[in-house]
Amino acid sequence: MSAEEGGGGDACPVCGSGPDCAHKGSTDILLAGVGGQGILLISQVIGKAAISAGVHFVMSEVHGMAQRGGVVTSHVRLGEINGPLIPTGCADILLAMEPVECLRAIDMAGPRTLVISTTRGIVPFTVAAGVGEYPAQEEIWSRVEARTGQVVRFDATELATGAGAAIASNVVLLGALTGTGRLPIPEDHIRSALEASVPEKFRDVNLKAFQLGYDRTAGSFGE
Amino acid sequence: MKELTSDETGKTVLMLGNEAVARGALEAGLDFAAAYPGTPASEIGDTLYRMAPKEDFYFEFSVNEMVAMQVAYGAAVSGLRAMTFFKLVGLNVAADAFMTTAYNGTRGGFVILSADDPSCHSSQNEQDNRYFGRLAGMPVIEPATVQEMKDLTKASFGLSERFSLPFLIRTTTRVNHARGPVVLGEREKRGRKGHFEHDMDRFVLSPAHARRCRLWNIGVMEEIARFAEETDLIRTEEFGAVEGGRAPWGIITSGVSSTYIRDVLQRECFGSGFRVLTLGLSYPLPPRRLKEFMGTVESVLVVEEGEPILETELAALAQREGLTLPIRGKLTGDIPRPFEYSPVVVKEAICGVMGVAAGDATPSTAPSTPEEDLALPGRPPALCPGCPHRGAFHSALKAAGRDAVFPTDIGCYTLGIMPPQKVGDILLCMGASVGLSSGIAEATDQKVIGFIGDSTFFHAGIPPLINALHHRQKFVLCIMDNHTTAMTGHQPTPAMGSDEVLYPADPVDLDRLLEGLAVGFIRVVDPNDLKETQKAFADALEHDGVAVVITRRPCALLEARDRRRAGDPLPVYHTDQDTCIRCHTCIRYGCPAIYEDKEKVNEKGKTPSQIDPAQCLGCGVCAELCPVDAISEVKP
Repeated sequence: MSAEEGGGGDACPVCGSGPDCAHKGSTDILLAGVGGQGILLISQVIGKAAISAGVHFVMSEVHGMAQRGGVVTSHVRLGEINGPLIPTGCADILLAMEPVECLRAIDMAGPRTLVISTTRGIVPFTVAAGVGEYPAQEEIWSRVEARTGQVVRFDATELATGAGAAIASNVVLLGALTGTGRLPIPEDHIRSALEASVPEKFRDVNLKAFQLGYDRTAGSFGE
Repeated sequence: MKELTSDETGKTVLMLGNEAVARGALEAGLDFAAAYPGTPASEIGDTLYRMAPKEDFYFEFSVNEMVAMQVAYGAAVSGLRAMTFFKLVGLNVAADAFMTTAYNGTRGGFVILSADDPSCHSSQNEQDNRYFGRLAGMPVIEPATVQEMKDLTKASFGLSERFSLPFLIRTTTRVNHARGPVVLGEREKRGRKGHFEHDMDRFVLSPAHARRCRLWNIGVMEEIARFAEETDLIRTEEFGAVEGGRAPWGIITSGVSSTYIRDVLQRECFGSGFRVLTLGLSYPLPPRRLKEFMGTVESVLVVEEGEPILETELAALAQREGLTLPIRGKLTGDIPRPFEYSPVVVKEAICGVMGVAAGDATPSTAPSTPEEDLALPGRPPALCPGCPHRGAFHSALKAAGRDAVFPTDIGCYTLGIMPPQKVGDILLCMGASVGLSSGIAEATDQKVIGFIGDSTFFHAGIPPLINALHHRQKFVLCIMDNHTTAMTGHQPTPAMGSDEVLYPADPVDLDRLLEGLAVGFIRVVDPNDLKETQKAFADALEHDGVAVVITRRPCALLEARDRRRAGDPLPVYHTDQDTCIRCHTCIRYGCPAIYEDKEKVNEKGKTPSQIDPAQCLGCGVCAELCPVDAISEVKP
């Protein structure tokens, strides 16, 4: 189903109030990636920051078997909400840590969704086993961009490597998310929560990774 | 952890639903807890395990759920506040003890938590354990939010003591694994020593005693039903235009579904008013309250994850009371019976029963296929890079061939079914690989190799092994000993001593246990030594009787962690591109860190292998497999 066919985003399936639905006082963020990428760290940082800023939230994740290299998604809901799941098509932001997982999660996005994704792929073992093909980048992005016009993509691992740890690409993306100004949490709360969530000896690397991501999006989104 | 045990009443703390359960127990003055790990309940035990050394309560990881139930109940009948908890199928294991605790009742508060898993996120079925409350005669509590996970756990201890009956808390994955702000309550401090008061009439269920306790149970459940008429664990909310307390639609719900209803109805009124009854105590039901509720609405929609239990009981109550209003739900096809709910499922059901179009844009609730013209590669969970189980599967398959039957068991190694090995023909429940091997070996002439992890073997593998030895059955049992309970988050096993766990413990020696059973063939191998392992399986298949091959090597994740902590990290491996003959022998081993480099395709269309240094855990098996020594260590 593509956006042109009316899927996902012409009207919000929860409130039905059409593409201008802004979810009255809430911000829904879907995090998508692969087990082991540190999605949990990002959602915990946002959660801690939300507590210190006095913003209500609920988050949902799946543990267990999925963590063994499988697809991981985390729903982060900030503001006036009750349930732990974002309605399909209604994520305000889709933050993807892997291109194929960005596209796999695209049904959670509508025409007003902001997509922030890394371009660095992780090829699943099924491709090596000959039961799947990893699509070309342009194949992925043309479909993501058919869903929403707001797509920010860059190689987060490259920026993380520049900060001193390739593994900190999750923190780069958190920085990019914060840089958009779309989080209903003041950014100093995010920074403090990040500092409090990583071991002291990795603090500087993480703050640097955060800043590189932040600078990548800061000023681009005036809303 | 400091925040979870904090005395700062009123402080708001970020918690996982399962952490909130542990905090709730702590606030209730928990004295005693015992459990076997299982997703989606595992983090309750992980949290209490880490808390216990500094807090005034006893905690143990028991050998299985049945034992955990017995141990915790022993403390409860001695007057302590005790708890046990498990994933949904854990209650099947504990059921024998569980059922009778409802006849005996309890002295200290006794709380049993079942973490149900609608949609089978990490379970072999999605059984609805609210039935177990009905089966045993035990109240069922259903928290809907992270805050309620704490509050209702705490409340359950008091209620259990008040009614002298164990309480069953039924959660679902989306509450266990939700995170949210939790306001801390006051911690009740209690002394820890219990005392067992003799009372044979109550605790030894001879037929005469059992009949009397049966009557007691019925009576106390009636008492709790009267409590349900008044308690604020059950509450009514109104949405939209509700005039004079009357609404066209009533919704009856429990658990996390109630939050989806609130999300939907707070945003849209559908041109109607709604009264919503949420059952935090969902069994026994309050007949008077339900009758009154049904009297204030024109129609009822029941929204419950799992089986149509409330719906059936509500329809029966309406019939008894002579009410004829429509009761809609799973049985009327208005909301799906299987799998977990979501805001979209709930909205579609509400629109459906009201005859309102959900809107053209409502997306399908079926599993999404993002773009039909582009097939995305699957990313199912897989054995980790460096996982020693891979060597065991690889070697067993080489030794026994594809015609052999491979019963498997519950744990990471269930993932042996993934390509390329695809080892694992049947999976039933904890320990079943052993019994299944017996039956299949007796019934067929096929070679049989059963696979079971060390923790699962201790849990439920020993009785069927004794059975197989006694009946002279002939098969190979591979005990995959990675010295941990890996899948659920590396919890301890009975093979660990005090040096490895946070409570006093003596290690149980697996090898001596097997020797004591007089197993006629025992071979211990390192599964990453593929040649030795294959030979062990080949020899074991020749043995006339039960042969045990122990593939012993620590979980790769733990080995990597321990070496890193010791300042001696494992190497990563690298394929020399000039030496690689592009035969893909290493790729066929199925390690997720090894891939073919399609950008370096040669004139014959062949690609070399590459090893992702970020994923490689340094087991070195690929280097052993390579026929031309193209793979070698890179020192970290």
